[in-house]
Amino acid sequence: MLKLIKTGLLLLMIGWLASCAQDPKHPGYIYTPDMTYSQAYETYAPNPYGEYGSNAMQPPANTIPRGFSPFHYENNISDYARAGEELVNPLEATRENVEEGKNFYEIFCAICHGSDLDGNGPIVSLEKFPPPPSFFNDYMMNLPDGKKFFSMHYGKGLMGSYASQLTQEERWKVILYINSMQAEKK
Amino acid sequence: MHRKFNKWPFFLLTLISLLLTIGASAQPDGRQVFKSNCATCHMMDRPLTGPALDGAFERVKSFHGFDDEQTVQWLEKWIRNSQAMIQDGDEYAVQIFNEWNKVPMNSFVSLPEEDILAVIDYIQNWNNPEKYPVKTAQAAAAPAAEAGGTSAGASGGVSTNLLLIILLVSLLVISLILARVTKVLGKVSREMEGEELPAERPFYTSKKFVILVSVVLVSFIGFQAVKGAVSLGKQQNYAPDQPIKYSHKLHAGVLKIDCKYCHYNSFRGKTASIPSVNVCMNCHKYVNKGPDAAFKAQYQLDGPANDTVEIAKIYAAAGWDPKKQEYHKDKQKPVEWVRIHNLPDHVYFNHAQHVTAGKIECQTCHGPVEEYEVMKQFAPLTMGWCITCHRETKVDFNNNGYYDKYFEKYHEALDKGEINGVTVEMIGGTECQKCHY
Repeated sequence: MLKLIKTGLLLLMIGWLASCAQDPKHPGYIYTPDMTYSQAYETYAPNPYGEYGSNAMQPPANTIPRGFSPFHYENNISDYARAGEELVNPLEATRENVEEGKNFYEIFCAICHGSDLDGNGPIVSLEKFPPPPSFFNDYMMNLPDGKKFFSMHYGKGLMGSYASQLTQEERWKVILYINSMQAEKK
Repeated sequence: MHRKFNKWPFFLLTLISLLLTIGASAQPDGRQVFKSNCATCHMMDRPLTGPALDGAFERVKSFHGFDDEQTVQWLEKWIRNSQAMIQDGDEYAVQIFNEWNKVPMNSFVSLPEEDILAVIDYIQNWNNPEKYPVKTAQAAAAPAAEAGGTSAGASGGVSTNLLLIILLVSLLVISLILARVTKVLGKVSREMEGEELPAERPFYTSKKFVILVSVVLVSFIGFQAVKGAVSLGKQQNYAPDQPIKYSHKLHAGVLKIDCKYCHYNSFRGKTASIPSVNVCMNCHKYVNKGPDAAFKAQYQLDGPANDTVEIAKIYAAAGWDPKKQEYHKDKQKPVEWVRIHNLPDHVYFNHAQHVTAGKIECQTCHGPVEEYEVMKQFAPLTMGWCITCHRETKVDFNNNGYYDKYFEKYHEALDKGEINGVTVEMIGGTECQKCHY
């Protein structure tokens, strides 16, 4: 009997020790919750007044974010051709601009188009995604800047729109980088 | 003369066969041509930007009532310049063009004829394993071995801790048993000597027992209290269930998608940004099921193979109808991710300052995220942790106009060799108001 009680007590202690391990599904406890959790709505937090019940909202209609300019082209073929004729890269191909373009290209484009611009990025070579065209084929070598910009804005074929991930200026920098790489092959 | 004439046919035959072998070896591989020219928009078994090409040959043939040669000619003309055919009013060409929302197919005017013929052959015979053998999955032992090494290391760390606890507990048990044994033995020996024994009292009223239990109790309660107090406000290793079982190991580790591809605000602003589902849809418009079992085994990924459940959640959030391939704006709803990293409201932290200005790698604070199947908080995110890093991290002091202008004395000290680097602390990185205001 004595032994039983003693072993029972020991087991209890072991259980106690084991309960010290933190439950990864629980965030733990805090003091001063009013100082920890913002009273104002935080980024991405739920917001009953938001468009989707969220703080992440679309810009109001007919407004243009700072640093952007209006894009007067619809997503159709005739405007695609028009963009190719009309749009001019406002940036100059300085070393900084091209280098920044390369940086953005490596983040946003190289995953499919490949670091060598040959259309063989990591997810393509793992056969998880169809290959995009190489930037060095005849069609892409002669693609005007405006069409490249249009494709980044609206997406093209299987490529999605990068309007939310790259600002207009950043997109032009990427184009400068692609052009510089294409010029090397000409 | 006679001998020469005899040799002529032989020579010709050799020449022809030689030419044929050259021709055969130079014969382009239809699958390869398809991959580099057509696969961007076409697949065999499912429509992409353009129609599925399985059975395209038969469709053209039966529509026009062509024979094989005529069909090849029609397809070649279409591949070279489909727009010209549409303008000429070819009935089937116009029909396809209208079915596909009048999106013109790229023209391949300068593609060599044998390439086009090879592609047409591939379209006809793509699922004939004799002509186009099925490729087996490429072995990539290196990443798998790497992953294996790290996981083994991690489990080793946990088991040492557990071992220590088990050792301690077993020592305690042994000492208790031994104490009991000596006591009983002593009692027995005294009984044998015929000594008068005092009446036995229950063990829990003994002084020793009460002291033992109270010491154990007080130390345990004290330990728990201190531990709880220290961990107050800390969420290290917090790994909640998320509404979508997104694997960083698959996306960032295996597929090598850059952190900044999805967290595209991390180098621009205060928050790193949780991507809205349009970013997911850049790939998942096409990728509608998870990796197969072979791929999962190769890269040691958790979860069921060919999973469609999690990706369907993206489609639901984006209002995407995969059957009709269109978005329904009224059905869109945000994914309610559970926030993991949370600094108290009275602390200011800016991602861009650390990522762009400080050039800190994401992994420095977030840990090896590319190995996490389930995202968790790697760093304690305490003030002590912040300050330690600010004291130890040296800033890239050169090639920066701001530092040149405002920290001349450090530049002088560096030139004289009085200091061997400038830490974040030295340029005001531990001032209270930097983070609390």
